[in-house]
Amino acid sequence: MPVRLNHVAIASDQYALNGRFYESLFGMKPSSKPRPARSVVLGDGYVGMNCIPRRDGRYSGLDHFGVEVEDVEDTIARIKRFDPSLSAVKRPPIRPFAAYSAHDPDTNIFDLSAPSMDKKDVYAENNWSQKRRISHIALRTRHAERCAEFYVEVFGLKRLERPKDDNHYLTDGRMTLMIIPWRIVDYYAQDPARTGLDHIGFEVESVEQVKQDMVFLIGENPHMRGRALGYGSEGEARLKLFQKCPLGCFHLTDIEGVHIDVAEA
Amino acid sequence: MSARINHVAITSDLYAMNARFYEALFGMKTGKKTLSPARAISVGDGYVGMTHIPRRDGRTSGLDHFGIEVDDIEDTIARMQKFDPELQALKRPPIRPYAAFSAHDPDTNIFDLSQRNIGFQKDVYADNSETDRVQPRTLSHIALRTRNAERCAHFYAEVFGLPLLNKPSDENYYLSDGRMTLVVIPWKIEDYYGMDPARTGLDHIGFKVESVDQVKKDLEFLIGKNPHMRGRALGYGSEGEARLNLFRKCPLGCHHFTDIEGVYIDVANGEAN
Repeated sequence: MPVRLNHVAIASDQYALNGRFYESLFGMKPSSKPRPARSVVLGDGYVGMNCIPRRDGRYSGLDHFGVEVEDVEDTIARIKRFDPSLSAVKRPPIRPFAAYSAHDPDTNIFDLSAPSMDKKDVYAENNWSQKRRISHIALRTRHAERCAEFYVEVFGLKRLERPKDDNHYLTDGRMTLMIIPWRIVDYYAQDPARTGLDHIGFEVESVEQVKQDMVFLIGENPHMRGRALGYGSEGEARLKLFQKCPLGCFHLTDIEGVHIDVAEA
Repeated sequence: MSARINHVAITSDLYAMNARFYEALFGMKTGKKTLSPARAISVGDGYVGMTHIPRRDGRTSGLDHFGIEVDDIEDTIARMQKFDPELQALKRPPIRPYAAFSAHDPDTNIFDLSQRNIGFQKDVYADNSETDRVQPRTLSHIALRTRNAERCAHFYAEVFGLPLLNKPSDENYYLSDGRMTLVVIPWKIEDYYGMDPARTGLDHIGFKVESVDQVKKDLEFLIGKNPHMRGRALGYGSEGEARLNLFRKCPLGCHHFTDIEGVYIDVANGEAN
């Protein structure tokens, strides 16, 4: 059962600017057939990123991820077999990626798509390679072990052997879904963050080059500057928690404030 | 044991403007001794304090958490752990105006814990505990949408002694501290047909006002004076309509809008507390 972790969505009031940030710094490409009133959809050749205009009553930030499966109906049946109380909802047909949305045992929401679907935007075109690409999505959730079992059993994702930490690393062969246990005690000296998607990571040809490109971009356009990281005792505590991810070695945020880490491939 | 649901926090990049919105429309007031101007802004209605937090790196914006004031924090944490030994609490940085601890319910919804009369509270929270000011527009409810609503409702009832109210025939749970209501709504992904599913957590806040019509007029007047006081568009397009229809299911409000940040607010006519 080939599955692909190939969708991530960020909700933002500055969704258009945020889309430009990922285009500029990571070379992600927009669709050849954009729909200007809707989300900005970008791709790295494998993963599609939707920068969604934030809607009324909703949170902004890293919103959800998506999994492409061979057969959506079969996947929903597997979800129900894992836990009969889990369910899925059909999505509006206008969406470029998702046929259904569903959730794991901790109510983390993900989209489901299938290759046979009538996909739009970069999801219909995502088949190139580039030197900077999304390598992992990190989910911080309370019952990490049970959620990891869910993604392994339902999607057939493989567990990776990783260094001694209590995270779970699941791969589709290219992208890693990292599941981090959420514990309120990890938030000492800062505001506790809610559970859910934590950060995204990129593999790049050179971390030094990314740093230089960032400085150059901000010089060209001051709106390309992300959030301040590590300032003050609380900022330092947040950054230290973020830095515990072993898959990244340089840490920054996008315009929206989403945590990003990068490492060399 | 007399718990008070008397804190709500909103994180926003527009936190300063959002605080002005609540001051301007609902008459909420800043404290006599506010914290440093570089920090969050707290406004109060005489009972509930609302803290507008500058959004920080890696965090989501919107309605963030609520808070409960108790007689004895240590006793409350012990009750939580009796309810479910896996539940934990975390001591907060001392600079906070309200919270001594943060904790979470069985569905990992985060709330703050505060204790009255120990000289800990600052800003509007110190003013609110001195004397409950009466004003015509006050917060009446906080709505939490969560998957295991029944278990969470029992958690708040058992740990905080909040009685369950008998309400109209819907699936929600209504818990009251005698003034504020905590509405616990079951989160079901099927409820999000025709729109993007929203994550679980705080859903909206509600106000009791002297006149809903007057609130509508005041809002128009405010936007005329200052276009930045305009909230988000509600009910536009099929997806906007679906979101609004779901929001409208709360029986405690009859007029619906958002603040500057996009947080859902419903209002209803009611006597000032």
